[in-house]
Amino acid sequence: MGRLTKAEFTTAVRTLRRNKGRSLFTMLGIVIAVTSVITVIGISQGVTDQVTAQTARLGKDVVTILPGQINLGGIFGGLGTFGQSVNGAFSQSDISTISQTSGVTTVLPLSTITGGVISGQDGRHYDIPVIGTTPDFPAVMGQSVAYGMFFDSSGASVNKVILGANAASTLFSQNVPLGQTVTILGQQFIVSGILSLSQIVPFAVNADFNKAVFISNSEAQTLANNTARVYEILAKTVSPAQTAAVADRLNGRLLTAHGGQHDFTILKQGQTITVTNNILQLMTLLTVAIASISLLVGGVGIMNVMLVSVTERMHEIGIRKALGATNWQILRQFVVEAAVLSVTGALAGVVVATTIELGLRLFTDIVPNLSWRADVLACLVSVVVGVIFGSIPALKAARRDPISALRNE
Amino acid sequence: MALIELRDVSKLYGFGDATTLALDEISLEINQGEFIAIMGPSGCGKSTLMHIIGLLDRPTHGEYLLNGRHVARLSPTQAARIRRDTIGFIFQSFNMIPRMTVLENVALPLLYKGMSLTKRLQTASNMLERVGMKSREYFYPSQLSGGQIQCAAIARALVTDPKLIIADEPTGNLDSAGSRLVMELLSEVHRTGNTVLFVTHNPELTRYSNRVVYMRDGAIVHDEPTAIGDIAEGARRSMYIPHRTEEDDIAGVSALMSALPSFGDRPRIPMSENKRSRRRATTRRKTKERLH
Repeated sequence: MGRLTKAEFTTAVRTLRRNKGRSLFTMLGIVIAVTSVITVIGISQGVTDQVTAQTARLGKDVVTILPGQINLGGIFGGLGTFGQSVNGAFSQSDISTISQTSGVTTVLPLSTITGGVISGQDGRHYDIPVIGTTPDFPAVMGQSVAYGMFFDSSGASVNKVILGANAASTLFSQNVPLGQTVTILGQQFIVSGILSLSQIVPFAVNADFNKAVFISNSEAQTLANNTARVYEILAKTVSPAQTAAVADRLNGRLLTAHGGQHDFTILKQGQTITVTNNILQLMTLLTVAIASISLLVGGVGIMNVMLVSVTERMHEIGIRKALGATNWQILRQFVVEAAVLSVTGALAGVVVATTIELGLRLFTDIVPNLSWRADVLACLVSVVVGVIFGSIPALKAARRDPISALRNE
Repeated sequence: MALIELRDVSKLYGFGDATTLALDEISLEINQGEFIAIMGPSGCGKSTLMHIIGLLDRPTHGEYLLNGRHVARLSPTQAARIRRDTIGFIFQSFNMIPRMTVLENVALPLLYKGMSLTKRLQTASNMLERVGMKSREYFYPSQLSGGQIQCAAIARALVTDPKLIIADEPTGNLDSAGSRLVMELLSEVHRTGNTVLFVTHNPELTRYSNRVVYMRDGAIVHDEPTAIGDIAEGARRSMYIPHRTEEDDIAGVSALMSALPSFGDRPRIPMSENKRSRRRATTRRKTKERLH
C-alpha cells in the first residue's frame, strides 16, 4: 500500500504542478486561514505574556484604585492611553483616605494635566502626557531610572522633570538630555532623570510611561489650579498576604467617604490582567471565528478545484478503472491530491505567519508568541478540512461507472 | 471447461418506452486459446458484449462464468480485481494517458497490483521490447503514430499476463500499415497461448482469427470456425470487396521477408505467398461473377 501512496503522491504533485495557477489560488484560501489563525493566537498569547510580566513586576502587594465603576466583564472604552480618566477622578481627600487606611504603607497617586510639553531645545510644542506623581513611583511601579535620578521628597523636587525613555528622544536630539529644560504650562522644568525603557503592553489600559514626562504631584496640582485629574491611585500594602483584606477595607472606607456611591474600582493583583485579557479573548475569539470561515472557504476552494480536476480527468479515471483500479484506489489518488494541496497551503501559511510575527516583533511593540502548538493546530485543522472537502468530488469520481467514464473524452 | 461461458445474457438500457435491448439472450462459449473476431454492423451490441465479457459492465439478465466462476453479479471492487488480474483491454481510441510516457502507461496496471516502482518499470520495459517499442519507451503518446501507440497499448494489456485479451476495434483508428502491425502482434500474442477477442468491421482481418462470431441487433446470428489465414466465409460473402492495393504488395513482401531466417523473430503472416495469390485469384473471379 505504501508503494501505491508514493505513486499517488508523485501523480498528485505532477498534476498540481501542471496547473500551477489553479493550485496556487486554491492554496491561497488555506494560506490566509492558517496565517490568520496562527498570527492571532501568537499576538494574543504574546500580549497576555507581556501583561502578566508587567503586572508581576508591579508586585502582589499593590492595589490599584481607579475612578468610576469598571465592569470587569468587558471594558471597551478603556482601550487607549488614559482610558480611565474619562470615568472621573479622585480628589486629594481620597488620597488621604487611602493613606490613612490601615495596612497601606505607600500611596502613589497618578494625576495628569493637559497642555503638553515645550522642548527647551527647539522651542516646539509636543503633545506629550504630563503625569504628576510622588517620589515613590520607581519603587512601587518597579521602574528603574536609567540616567540621573527620580525626584525625592525633599524640597529639591521643585522644578524637576523626569522623562520617559521615548519622550526623551522625542524632545531632545542628544542622547542623555540631563540638565536640559522643558516648559510645561508656562513653567520651566529641569530634566533631572530619564527612565529606562520599560516593557509596555499593547492594548493595555495603563498609560505608556515610556512616552510620558513626570513631575511631582503637588506641582502638577499647582500648575493646573488643582484641576489635575488623579486618574489612578496605587496603594502598596504591608504584605502580599494582606492585600485582599486591605482592598476590602479600602473599599469600605472609600464607600463611606463617597457617601455610599460606588464610583471607584479596586483592582487587586491579577485583576488588571483580567481586564486586558477580556478584550484580548474577545478579539482572539472574533479573529479565530473569521479565520475559521476563511478556512471553510479554503476548503470549498479545494472542493472546487478537485471537482474540476475530477471532471477533467474523467476519461483517465475510466482508463485506470479498465486497467483494474478499484474505487478505493481511485478515491485515494484524489484524496492524496487534496492532501498535498492543503498540506502545502498550511505549510506556506506557517511560513507567512512566522514572517508576520517576526516582523511584528521587530517593528512594533507587540511581541507575538511563536508557538508550535498553534502551528500544528492550524495545519491539522486546515488539512482535515481540505481532505474532507477534497474527498467529496473524489468519491464521485471513484464511484463512476467505468464505461461512462471512458466515454468522457 | 470453457474460459468464458455466457448463458442467456441480456443487456437493457433505458426505462419504459425508451428501453433498448443491446444484448438479447446471448449464449456463447469461448475456450482457452481461441482467437475470436466479432463482426457486425454498428449498434449491434458488439461493444456491449465486450464490456460485459471484460467486466466493465454487468448484464441485466443471464449468467456469466469466467474461468468457472460466476462473475455477473460481482461488486465493483471484485470486478476491478478480476480485470486487473485476468483481462487485458485494447481500445479503438488507444486510451493512453497523454501526460505519461509510454513506459509509465504500460506500467500502470502493475501499480494496482502493488508492484514496486523499479519492478514495474522493468516489467513494462520488457513488455515494450516484446512488442518492438523499446526504443520509444520515453516518448509521450502524442509523439507516436497510431500504430505505435496501439502496440504500446497491447503491451499495456499484456503486462499483467492476463488470460484474456479484449480488443474493441483495435484497428478502427489505424491505416492499413498500422492495422497490419497491430494484428500481427495480436496473432503473436495468440500464438503464445492467450485467448484473444477482438471486434472488427474489416473482413480482411478475420484472416487472423480461428473463429468468427457475427452479431445483429444484439443477437449472435452466425458463429463459424475459420482457418487462420483465410478470410471467414461469412465475412467474405457479406462484406468483403477485394481490391489490390499497395498494401497488398507490401504484405506480400512482408510475408516473404518473415520467411527469411534473419527475420525469423518478427511476427510472421502464417500463409505462403503461393496460397495467397491463388486465393486472391479465386476471390477476384467470384466477385466478377457476383457483379455480373
